[in-house]
Amino acid sequence: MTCSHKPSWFLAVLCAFAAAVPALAHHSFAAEFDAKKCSEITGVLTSVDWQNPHAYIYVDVKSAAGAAESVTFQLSSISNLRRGGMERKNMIDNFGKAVTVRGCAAKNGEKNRYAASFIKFPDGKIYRLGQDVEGLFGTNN
Amino acid sequence: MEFLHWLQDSGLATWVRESDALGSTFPYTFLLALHAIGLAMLVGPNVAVDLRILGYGRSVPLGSMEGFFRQMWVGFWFNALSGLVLLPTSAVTFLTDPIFYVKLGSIALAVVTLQMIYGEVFRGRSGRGDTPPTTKAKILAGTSLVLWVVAIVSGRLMAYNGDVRRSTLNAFLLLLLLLLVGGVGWRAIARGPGWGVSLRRSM
Repeated sequence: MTCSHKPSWFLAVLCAFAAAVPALAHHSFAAEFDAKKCSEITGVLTSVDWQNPHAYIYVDVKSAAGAAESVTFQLSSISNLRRGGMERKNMIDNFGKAVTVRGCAAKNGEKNRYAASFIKFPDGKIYRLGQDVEGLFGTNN
Repeated sequence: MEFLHWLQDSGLATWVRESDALGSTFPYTFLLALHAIGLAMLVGPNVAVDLRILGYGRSVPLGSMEGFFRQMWVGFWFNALSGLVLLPTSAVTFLTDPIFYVKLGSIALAVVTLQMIYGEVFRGRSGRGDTPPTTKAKILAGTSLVLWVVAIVSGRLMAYNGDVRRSTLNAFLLLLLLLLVGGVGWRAIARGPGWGVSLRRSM
């Protein structure tokens, strides 16, 4: 009697472990952004899309010609940003102010589109915004 | 295209996408969880029925598997409804991605095939699944397996772009080839009473 139950008990435990493996559902940074083309971009923070699966911030950067271009930065999910201490309110409080963002350029050649890793606000505070691909503000390079 | 933007900017889509009330993104995460569970509830038993029709696990009476159909329909509706709410949140991205149409098309065909299997095996000449599955049933079962593999792989590929999408697809094709070869090989070699019975006998 006990023996005939053994295989199903074993299977149940095995299945429970299998189900506990975290779902690796995130897509790849490397597919969309080039970790070798990272730089610091300074400009005026104008707006945010604080949403899932990716939040976005928009920064007006003065081009060489002097005109202001809007640069798009892709961030992590809302919960991941929260883990780094970054909330929507932090961004809104800094609208119209000069910020420095460390970002890696988009691969498809699209201009003014980056994946952000860190941001520095005027008060000097630094927050993580996305995947840390090269250390704090590129310190691993 | 304008319609897609309108859809994406609609109230419901924006609310789900930006949900962050009381520090919780619960609406979004709950819909995703529902979508994953519904998928398991529908595809799991469906694949089991398909495999049984094709002759795997003969110790399970085929007729008894009819009991799973209600659960499969619940899973389907979990996914149809959660998917309907999730789609507008990224309407522009999803509805301009060919893989998304592959996913929806294969799901639609797989569900139709499931209905046909139900008719052929549990309601047709075979009666309540008591007689051996007909050739038509086996073809339907094989088709169902292929369609679900296409549906699940394309759902997975939606999260990727470019090179990563290509290499992921290649990885899946290789794995499926290995499983096919392994499965057919196993059947050819191990024509015994089945591993469950063998295991019990050995204890």
